Amino acid sequence: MNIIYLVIFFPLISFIFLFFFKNVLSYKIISFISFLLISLSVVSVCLLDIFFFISPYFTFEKCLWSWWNIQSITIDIGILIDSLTCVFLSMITIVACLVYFFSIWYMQHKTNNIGFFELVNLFLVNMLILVISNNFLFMYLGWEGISVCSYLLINFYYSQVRVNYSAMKSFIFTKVGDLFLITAILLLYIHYHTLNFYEIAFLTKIYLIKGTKFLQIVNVLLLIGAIGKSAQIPLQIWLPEAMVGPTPVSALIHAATMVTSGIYLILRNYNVFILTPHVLYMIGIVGGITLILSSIVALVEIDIKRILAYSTMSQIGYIFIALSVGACNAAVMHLIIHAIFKALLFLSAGVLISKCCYEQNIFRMGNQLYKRFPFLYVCFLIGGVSLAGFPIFTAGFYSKEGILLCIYNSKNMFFFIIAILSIILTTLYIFRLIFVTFHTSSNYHITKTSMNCFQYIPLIIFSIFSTTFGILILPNISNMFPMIALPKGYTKFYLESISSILVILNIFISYYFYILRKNIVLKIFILKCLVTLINFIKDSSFGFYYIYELFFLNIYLAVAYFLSRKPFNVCSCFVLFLVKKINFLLISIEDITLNVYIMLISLNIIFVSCLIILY
Amino acid sequence: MISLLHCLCLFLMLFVLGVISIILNDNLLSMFIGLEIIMNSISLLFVVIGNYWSHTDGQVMYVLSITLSAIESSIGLTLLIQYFRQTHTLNINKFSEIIE
Repeated sequence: MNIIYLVIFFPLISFIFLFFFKNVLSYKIISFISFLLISLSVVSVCLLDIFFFISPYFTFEKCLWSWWNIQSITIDIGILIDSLTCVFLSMITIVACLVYFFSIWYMQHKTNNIGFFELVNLFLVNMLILVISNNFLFMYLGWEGISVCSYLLINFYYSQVRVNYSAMKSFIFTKVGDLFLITAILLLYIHYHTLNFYEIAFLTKIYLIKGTKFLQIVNVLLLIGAIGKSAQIPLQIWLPEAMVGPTPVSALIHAATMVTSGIYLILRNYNVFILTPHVLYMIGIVGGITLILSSIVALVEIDIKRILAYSTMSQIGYIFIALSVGACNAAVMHLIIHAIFKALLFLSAGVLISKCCYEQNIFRMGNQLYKRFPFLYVCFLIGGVSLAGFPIFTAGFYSKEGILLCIYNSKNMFFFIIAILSIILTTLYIFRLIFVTFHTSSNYHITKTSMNCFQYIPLIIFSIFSTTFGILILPNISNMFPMIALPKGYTKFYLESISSILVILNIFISYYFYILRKNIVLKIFILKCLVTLINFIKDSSFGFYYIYELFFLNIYLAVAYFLSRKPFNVCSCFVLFLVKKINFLLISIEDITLNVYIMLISLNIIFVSCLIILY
Repeated sequence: MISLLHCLCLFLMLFVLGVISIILNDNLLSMFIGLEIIMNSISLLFVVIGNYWSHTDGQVMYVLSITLSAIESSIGLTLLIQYFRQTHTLNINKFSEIIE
């Protein structure tokens, strides 16, 4: 079991190595060595997987050392391995390893490319800490670490002003969620005197933690924390903004790993969430609203990366609904499949963008691209059909069906309608993206560079796992959560056939709209009105900009204005005066010879020792 | 038998002499000699106190610290020679680089 330390150890070593040698060695050597270290981490995760395949009920908890020990408060740094952690570990490390391999090519000629790898390694360490910790506070360390690393990676092209604003925005929005999370952690500790995940689960089992009003508040706060990280509706603005970073970062952080940390939080504390059904229902509502709104906005967006970002938001919303109806196993399954096909979509979009002179507008990318880049087209198609849930051949189909069946089983019509709508909308927007990008003709020139193995290998591996093959190799975690008794008989078959028919029908609809009759959307009046309306919603970010402006910005400005006026500014002026005086004094001391410094130091030592002796 | 108090007085005198020689001198070499005096006086303290409590630890520490001070003085002298070659002076106040 000691292999678990190696999983974190290798990225950490890689980070330290890059930190000290980035100006010494060449790009090739450095990228090779750090890739080797990350793949060693993947190997150790694979060994762990084999172990869990043999004994799925195994749970390993070990306290490494005591972090804080103040009076009665003891916070340990401990690790916890069960099959849920193992699933997340394998997802994170494998996706990170492949994306890392891809970015060796992608970052080749960028400035400060080694700094990029350094940050990715640090991000990986923090993400692993998040999933591996056995208590809330150690998890919070990783939680904060990934938001800092995400900020730095979004801000990678920091020479552009727009990028700075976007990075700042995404950092602040995740930080709001973090504040709610730390409040929830403190409340939990004050009332239950433990932060350990398993101890809290145990307390719920022996009914020491009951579904009181207090627990409801804690759960709502935890939920807001999860919402902040997973980019759900009130705090969702940062995810599309985060797309200004390099594309491998979008693939790794904003599609596969970081956005799943909110779901991990809910899954880890599912025992606590079950006690408050209202909060559980709220998870579903938040997820459902996000799902519908972001899918609709993805229909009119024209930036290829932002479309994929909205699609990530909607899929995370889908997983939230699944959590709400208690379909944890299906949720984890869809989470992993989503990470795979979304990484595939992002990476192929990254190749496409770099080949089209960094043009991200899907209407201007090029002329009949599917003839020029057949391999990329196939990759994109596989990712797209997996996202849409095309029947039988794709992994997305099976994972989505699992969730749909559970939603149907929960007898909640609202969620069921949203799920069916999401199938329609998802298919529409992803095939609009594919058709517009690859099939339309426009006269923009393309720099044709040859593909090499750095692009082929990750894309091929992700493509293979996005097909049905991916669903077969998924680890089994059914022992972690309570099973739901699913309806027997033909229900599953009916649901599958309904969704398959919907998917195929919508592929034809988008084919009709975007290839056969290209400008029909602009000709029909009602559709035109709709598009304008959706664009308006998109620009104001579902109207949340107005709410933020009304409630936070205006209040902040009013308070600032109030404080800058007469009775209060005397105080600040006095502080300023004091600081200036002290500054003057210190500067006058500074400009004397070394001997006087030594004398002052000796006198100080004598003075302090006299004080110590006297008291 | 020399009493502890005498030894401590000797230590204190040596120590204060060293500190004063650092404070008063401009010359880098003299300051360096002062540092050596401080170092050796502390080594003396180790031995004396170790002897008083009849421990051998003090003597072990003496051997360690004398080794360290030998290394330190060799490095210091090397630097000093390099400084002298470059600037042709050993006045400590001329080396300062933070004066505008």
